[in-house]
Amino acid sequence: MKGDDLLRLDGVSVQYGRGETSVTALSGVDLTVARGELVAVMGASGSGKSTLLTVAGGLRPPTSGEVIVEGHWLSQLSARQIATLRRRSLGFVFQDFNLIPSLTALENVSLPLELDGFPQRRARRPALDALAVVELEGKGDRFPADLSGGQQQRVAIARAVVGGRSLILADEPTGALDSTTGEVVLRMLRGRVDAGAGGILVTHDARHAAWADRIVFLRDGRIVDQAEPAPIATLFEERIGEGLRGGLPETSRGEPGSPSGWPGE
Amino acid sequence: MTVQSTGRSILVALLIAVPILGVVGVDTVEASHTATVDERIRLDLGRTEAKVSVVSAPDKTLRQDPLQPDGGTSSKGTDIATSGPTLRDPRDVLPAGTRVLTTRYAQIVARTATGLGSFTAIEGQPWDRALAGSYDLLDGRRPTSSKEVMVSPAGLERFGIGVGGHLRVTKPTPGDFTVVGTLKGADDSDDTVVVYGADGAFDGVTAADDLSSSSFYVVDRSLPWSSVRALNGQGMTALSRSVLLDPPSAEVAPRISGLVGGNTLGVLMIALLGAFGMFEVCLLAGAAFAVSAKRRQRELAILSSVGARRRTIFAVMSFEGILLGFVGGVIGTGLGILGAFFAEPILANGNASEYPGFHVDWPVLALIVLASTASGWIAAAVPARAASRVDVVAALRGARRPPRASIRRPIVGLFTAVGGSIIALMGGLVVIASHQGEQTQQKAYTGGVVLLVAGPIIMQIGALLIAPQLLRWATTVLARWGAGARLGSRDAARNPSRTVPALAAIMSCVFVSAFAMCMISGGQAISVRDHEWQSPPDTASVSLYRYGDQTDRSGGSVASWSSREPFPVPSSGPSRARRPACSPACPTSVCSATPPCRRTSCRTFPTSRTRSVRSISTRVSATIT
Repeated sequence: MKGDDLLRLDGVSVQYGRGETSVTALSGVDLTVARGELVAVMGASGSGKSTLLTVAGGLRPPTSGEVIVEGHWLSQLSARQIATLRRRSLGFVFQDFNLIPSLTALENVSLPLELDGFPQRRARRPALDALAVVELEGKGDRFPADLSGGQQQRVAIARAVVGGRSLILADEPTGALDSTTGEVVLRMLRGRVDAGAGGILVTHDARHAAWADRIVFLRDGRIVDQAEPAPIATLFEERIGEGLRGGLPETSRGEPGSPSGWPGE
Repeated sequence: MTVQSTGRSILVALLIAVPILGVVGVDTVEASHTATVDERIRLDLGRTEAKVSVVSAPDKTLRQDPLQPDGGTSSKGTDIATSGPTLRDPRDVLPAGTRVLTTRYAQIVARTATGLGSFTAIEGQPWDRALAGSYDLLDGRRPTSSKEVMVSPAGLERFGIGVGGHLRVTKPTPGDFTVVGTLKGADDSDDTVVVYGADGAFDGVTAADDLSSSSFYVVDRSLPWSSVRALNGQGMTALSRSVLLDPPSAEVAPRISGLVGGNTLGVLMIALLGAFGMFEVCLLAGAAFAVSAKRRQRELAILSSVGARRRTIFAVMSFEGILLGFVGGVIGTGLGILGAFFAEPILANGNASEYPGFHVDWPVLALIVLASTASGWIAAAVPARAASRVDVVAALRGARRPPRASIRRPIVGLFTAVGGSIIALMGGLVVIASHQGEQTQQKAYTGGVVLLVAGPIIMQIGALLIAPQLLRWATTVLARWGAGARLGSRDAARNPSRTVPALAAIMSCVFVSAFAMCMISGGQAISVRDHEWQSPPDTASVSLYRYGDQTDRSGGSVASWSSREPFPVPSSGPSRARRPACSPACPTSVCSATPPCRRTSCRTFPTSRTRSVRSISTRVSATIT
């Protein structure tokens, strides 16, 4: 199912601040995401996961390196062209849904299309289709406050894929959901990728990373390893050690003495 | 989004609505004071065709303003008599058979319920049906003989009589008259006392004897502009119905009254003050919009993350400003109209000429609503611009870093503030200079006022640019005052996007208050400086006049006067004044006639009440018989 590259990061570095207070968030990151591929990015807090996502989505320019989305070199695009690219090719899914509370589910989903110049009536059809894909038919006229967390996240996924957008950038999409609902959301995300999109899934949870085709491990802004989901338990054993298995199904996240994340978190 | 923050939206709309209410109220009152052509015809002419006044002896060079004959005439003639036997009677000039009514003002003294009083009388045929609208019969019937009179409604109360009662006139010719009805002139307020009698009823002087003080109403003959011009040649002016309805072009009949220029200046002044007011509103509403933008940062960041351009983000915030500006404008306009509707009749006090009708100046009101909408947009523009430049990622995470301090901004602000001060100072100097010489230089005066308004606006913009730096400096001082002061001041200094709009709102309120107080205290200082004292400290002077004698009179009986009419000073204050005989200390200047200083014309008041007495500038005129 994998095809041409939807996203390519070539030697991307990001540095915050200047002088003594400067922090390197990403350092020479190379990454590709192909069509039909879901890449999970794991790492401790501060390892650069979210920065990678925002750079890939054109929300923040890299300090150095290149970001290429569907063949477009972001460094060569104006802010306006990058905004257009976000409307047509990219979709974000955030941990806390980030739906606009004053718009209904349908309006939230059709928003990228309307911003792209579609008349409200023309944007309605693809938005309804997207809602159907995430199994929210008949709930289009509800406001986010009237939907459960899982439903809101599904609306966010529908918004991320509406209008044939092909690259989904999900930043801990299940972080605010219970495990059952989280599984449903991930299944939908996986379904969209299998339908021809591509995506990056940032997560702390190894169980969720298991939905991906490939897992990328970040530490201090560098990719320290990449692996298929299968040997994930092994990787945990090797890299993290006993007692620091945040995310593994049998771990006890949040219990005293068992930090939920990675070393240094 | 506006709907979701109802409380804040209402606040912003009201901030905009309040000054709009004031401006609309003033404009509507002003418009209601200006009679339409139809109203003017009704009030000035009733049902007659024209009102003719005699202004001079025949003068072929006399020209009148077609619409304002009282206010504008010009003549190249010299040594033209304005009174005396050379004046011509309009009835002799108008075609034979023309029906003409006359009115003439006279002064009478009549007995009131408590004593005697001097009153205005109108002789002629003011009650004629042809003058309905200008003089309205309210009660009773019209007089049928020279011994029957009508009075204004306030007259009945003053004279202590009713319709059918008798009015005793003591001056100029003593006589008793029967009041047969009440009549109200359009120019008279509810408390005006007027007595209406037949031609020559009170003083024996008819309109023909006193042409220049009389008005001649042409009942049944239209006077077009050509006839008016013919009357001008006879030393007369005319306010003509046909000319009012169809005025000649300015080329044919140039306007002489010169009212237009004055109005233009007034409109400019109101516009400038309105602009200044709207600026202050922008500062106030801007604070609310800044808070709104901050609260909606996440929402705007979401928009940005799904591909909204900066322009779109700016438009979202701007639209809120435009909407609230428009709503505020409409609310203010509605309330202003409503307020004027209820306030106007009270202000006019029954005077139909003052308040010919309720008029709404729709074109101006449309402009005001437009200005209000623009104010809302301007108030939202700065926060909207800031919102469009928000760090999307940080906003989505809710973790914004404080902005870096700009070095250039305070410097620019300092220069702007100094520049504004210089402009304001120049404006003041220009205004002062415009008053030098015999006549005020209108253009210079207007320019000075523009600078005076622009200067403070620029100063305030400069102050806002300096404000973040001032807050940072304040932090260094306040940090020593304990943890509370340190935390509070640092929070204020590190969040200028929140604190500076609040500071702007407070600054605008303080500015307006300080401005108003300076204006009032300045005006009071000028009033004190230019006050002409009527009497030395600790005293008040009372001047008494005898009917028909315009000079102060030392004689007469104050004792009898004071027993009939209460001394007209408020009872809580100076009315408790002693009424002793003129003391030896009474200086000559206090007395209304010299020499000698007679006790009848000098009043002294206790020292404790001196200030009150001075402030009301007590000068009492009473008529003695």
